[in-house]
Amino acid sequence: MIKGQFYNGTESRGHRARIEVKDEMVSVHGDEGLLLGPVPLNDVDVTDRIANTPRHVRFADGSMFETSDNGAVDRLLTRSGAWIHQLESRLVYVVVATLVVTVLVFYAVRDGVPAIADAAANAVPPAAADKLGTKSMEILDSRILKPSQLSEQRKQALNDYFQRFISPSEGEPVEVIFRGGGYIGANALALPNGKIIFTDELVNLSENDQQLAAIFAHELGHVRLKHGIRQALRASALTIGIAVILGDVSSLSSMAVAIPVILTESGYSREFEREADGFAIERMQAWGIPGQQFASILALLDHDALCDGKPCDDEASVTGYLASHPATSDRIRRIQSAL
Amino acid sequence: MSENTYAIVFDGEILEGFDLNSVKQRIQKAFSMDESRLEALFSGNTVVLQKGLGQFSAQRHGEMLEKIGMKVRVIASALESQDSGEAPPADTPPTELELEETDGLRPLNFEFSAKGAEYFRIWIVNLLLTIVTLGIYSAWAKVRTNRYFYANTRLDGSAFEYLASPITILKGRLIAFALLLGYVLVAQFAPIYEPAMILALVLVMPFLVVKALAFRARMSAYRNIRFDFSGSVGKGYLYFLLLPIVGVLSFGLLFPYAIYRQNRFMVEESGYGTSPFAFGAGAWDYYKVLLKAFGILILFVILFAVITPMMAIDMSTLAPGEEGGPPSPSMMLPLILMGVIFAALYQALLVYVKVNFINIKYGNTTLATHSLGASFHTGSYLWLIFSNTLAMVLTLGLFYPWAKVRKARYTAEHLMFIADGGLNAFVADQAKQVNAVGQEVGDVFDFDIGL
Repeated sequence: MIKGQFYNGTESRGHRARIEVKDEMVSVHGDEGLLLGPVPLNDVDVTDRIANTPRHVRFADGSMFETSDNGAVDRLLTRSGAWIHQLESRLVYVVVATLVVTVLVFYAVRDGVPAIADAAANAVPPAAADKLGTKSMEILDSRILKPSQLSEQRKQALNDYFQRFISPSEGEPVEVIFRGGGYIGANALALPNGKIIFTDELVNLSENDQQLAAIFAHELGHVRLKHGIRQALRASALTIGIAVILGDVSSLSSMAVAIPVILTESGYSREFEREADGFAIERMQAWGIPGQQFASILALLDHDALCDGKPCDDEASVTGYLASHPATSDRIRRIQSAL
Repeated sequence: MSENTYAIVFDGEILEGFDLNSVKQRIQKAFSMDESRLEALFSGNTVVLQKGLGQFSAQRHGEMLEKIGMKVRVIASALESQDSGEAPPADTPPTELELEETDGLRPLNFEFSAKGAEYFRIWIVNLLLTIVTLGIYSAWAKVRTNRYFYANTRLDGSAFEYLASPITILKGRLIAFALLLGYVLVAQFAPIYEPAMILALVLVMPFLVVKALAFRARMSAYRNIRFDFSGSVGKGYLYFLLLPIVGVLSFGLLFPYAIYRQNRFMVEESGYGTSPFAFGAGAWDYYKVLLKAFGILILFVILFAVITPMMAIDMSTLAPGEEGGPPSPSMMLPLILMGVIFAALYQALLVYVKVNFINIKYGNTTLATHSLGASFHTGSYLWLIFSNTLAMVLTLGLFYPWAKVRKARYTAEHLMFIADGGLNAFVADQAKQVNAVGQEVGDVFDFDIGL
């Protein structure tokens, strides 16, 4: 017998009632007599057990019986789907579930998202990559960069120098363009459409053209390895993944979600920078340019990274983690160990 | 969160300016009391009128009783009151008077029995199954979550029900997912089309909001009678698109009016069974709140405008960053600190406005002869949000189930339903069909519906 309240679905008045189950037939009895049934057990719809919340039994005519006696309901009106409640009610399953979820999320973010994004990157048509590059160029030109002050002669000479290192067979054509750096100062950027930007400040900072070739090799790595597209796709996949799991996009703007997302995207950026550095080291060997030139230009760009001519050892791990480039001293160390 | 319960006690005194006989008459009428009980009430003994109330519903009930002229006291639960010295005299134990008649005004709490640790189990299993099924299970997870929260909410002894079926939710989610995918990819790869996409989204938003409101209402039930929302899509466009645009175009002057009409629309078109909700607030209630908030904001802007030049004396020694290096931290610190304070203040003002809007909405909503009330409080709500966010950041998100339960509990504790008699007189309406697409898409893009 199950005690509860019976609501006929036509009015909100409830009746104190009890359910009796006999020979697979269900009947509902109130204070004044039979309220419903007997009806076959199979025609009765019982809600799943969720913790200890009240259960609702629904009948074909739309009436409903509400009870808090979960034990009796489980015994007399058994339901399939109770396995989920089993998972939730045994502490050991909950602990296991927590661990599994943590592990899955970790691998999904570190390996799963990049894998999906990188696979999709190969499917992206060049036209899309082009658009992305053109749009980025427009934004850079209108907001940040200024026209280059270098002489035409110097620009042409550098371009010819760089083009010597590229063979047409290795991929899409690459073009080097020059701009005034504005507040980004001495810098180089690679766009997905094959354009590589050098700022005047970088050209003037370098001690010789081989150092610029080193930077060129690094930026070429970004282009050949499709970092722009891959980063865009990883960001998209991460966003969508979170939205699906959490159920809505509003959570994305909450601090608790935004911080890990930013850290993750920083992590992806640093991975790409490491890839580009590796690409640069290889190419420089093939082109006959001393690797030390790369280390030198990096040190010039970030003069804090050299302490008495040697890479610093106590660079704060926090700034290293937060910066989109790996810590300069790490990069220099890596280059020097490859020499 | 305070777990104290409160009681309302009556010492037999009436408030100044009230006439004893008319107060007695009103009490008799309001609570259907016979003579002997009335005499017991005014016997000079301390009588416990109501107990086991939450703090805010106790205050509310007390205010109501004071309106009929009774002089009442709100005290913390009997056990504690003895420590605090507010107890009725120890030798005359308080007489309890059952006022829970089926006639007369009864302030009812929304009882909320969910627990964070309990919900954590449901939530983590939901996550696990969702990840393992690449998101398909998320529809079942959502139904399970809503059922848990609804069924843990009781009013007058009966629980609420969430009736949506997972399959319907899933269909909606798949469409929403496709739209989200399209939006994200356009944003990354063809940003030139992004403005067009945003425009399309804005244009379709009122439709989605109306559908979402209808779906959520009709999938909610109490005592086996469904709620309803009958607002038309046309009116949705008027109140959620046209009026806000007018509000913006009028330099914000008509924006509070737009918010007022939105809330009125949402309440008036809602119903329980065949009974519609009614809305009694006016536009001025909303203007008052925003004017106050705006005033405070202006005050602080002036304050900061005065302080900043004094700080700027230090800033003049700042050299522009060399080779992109940052200025030294010690000079940036005061500025950053002020920025943080200002941001926190702005957040607090947003919460202040939100809290007051909630109180206005529920405080002016009635259903037949019953009414709702809300006593949200800026300070405690701010603390709720702040502590939840902090805990979630520190636990890498694992605190989420507790945060959600805390927020729901706050809502339930600060809402009240003042029943006029019993809740048995409601009648069901024809069940209306509605698909889930609207709600799901609305949910995914998070249109702030309801609370």
